Amino acid sequence: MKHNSLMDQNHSLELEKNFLKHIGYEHGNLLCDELDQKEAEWRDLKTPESLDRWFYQFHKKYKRRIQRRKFTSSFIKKAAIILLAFLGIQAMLITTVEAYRFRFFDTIINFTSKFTQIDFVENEPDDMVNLPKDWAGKYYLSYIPEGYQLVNSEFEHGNGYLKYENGLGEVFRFFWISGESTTLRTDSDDKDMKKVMIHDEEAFLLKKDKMINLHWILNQDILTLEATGLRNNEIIKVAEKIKQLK
Amino acid sequence: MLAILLMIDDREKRDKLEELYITYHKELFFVAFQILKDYYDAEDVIQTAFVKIIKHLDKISKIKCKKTRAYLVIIVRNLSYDRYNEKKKIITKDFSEEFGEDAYKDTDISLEQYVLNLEKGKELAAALNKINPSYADILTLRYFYELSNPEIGELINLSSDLVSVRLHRAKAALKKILSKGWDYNET
Repeated sequence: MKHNSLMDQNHSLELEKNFLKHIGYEHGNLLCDELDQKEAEWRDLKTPESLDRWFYQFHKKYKRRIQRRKFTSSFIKKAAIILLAFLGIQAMLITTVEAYRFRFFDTIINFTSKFTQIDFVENEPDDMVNLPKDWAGKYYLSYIPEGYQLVNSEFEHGNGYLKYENGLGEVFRFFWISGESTTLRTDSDDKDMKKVMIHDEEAFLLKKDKMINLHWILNQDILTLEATGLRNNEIIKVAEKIKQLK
Repeated sequence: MLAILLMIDDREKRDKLEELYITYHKELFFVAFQILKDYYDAEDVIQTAFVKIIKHLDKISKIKCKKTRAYLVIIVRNLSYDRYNEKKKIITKDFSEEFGEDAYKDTDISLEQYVLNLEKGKELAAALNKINPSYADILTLRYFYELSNPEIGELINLSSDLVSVRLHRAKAALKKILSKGWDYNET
């Protein structure tokens, strides 16, 4: 018989399957019938006891394996339920309890900010704009009176020197001497001397003609400011704004 | 020991495997013993059969029925044939040796043949069983119990390829029976 279409082929295949299934069914019946006919023979047959013993052991092992499998599967189920419940409660708390939600999101924000936040620090680079690029002296001036520019700088063995000038020929200098000074002496015979406070430190302000000198001790270093053309309050302000390089 | 097992009256407490053993161990032993004529070999085959059955226990839905009974008998008798041939170092004779290679080239059974012979399934099965019991068994496992070739191979100690070859030959043998008529099994 020729098959004209896929449908015909499938139909024919199904028929063949059913036909063979029917043969199988009949074969099974025949086997059973055959055994039934010989029932008298096998009913009286004594099977070896060793076979029963073997089966008993085999069955015991089988049951143990099944129990283990059941235990494992029930344990996994329980673990899954607990995990789901935990996640469910978490989700519920996050969405329903306002405080918890804020805490949760705050945590995330804090966590994120650890990596993204920008810390604002004192603008040291701007303060140091009038210093040489490779300046490694111990101190620098964060406040410079208007119109003054750095014209000279030096530092060596912990001591340093900075010189500023304005366009009018007026100069002010800052220098420090590193050491273990605890006291400061100055010649004030022919000068107008005044004690002032630079932060918590006592300083001597000396004035002669147009020259003003300010001396004080900071971190056991002797610091001096010397200026022409600056007023007292201005030179004190410069002194107060002196910073130490970190 | 069996007495202990039988003492468990509550059938619900018994599992499927235990039920199978209690119900069928005697007749299965008889089937194996008939082929092998040796108590130890028969015992060994029953043990092997139960080890194999346990892997396909899900295929058995009802314990006391013809379908389950025949299923177990097919497994045990094929394992017994296998053991017998192994012991006697017999190489099984195939259909091709009896009828020639051409006999199974075309295994397509026509539609008319299905319809005409459906009522004679019993005779056809008996004829096929007579030609080669293994053919009838493999055909039954494949189409009645709907097992795959690897499953059949695992149950009766055959490779999947050999199962496929035997199925093909079983169908060819069936076709030959159909074409030769009902006296075929008498020849």
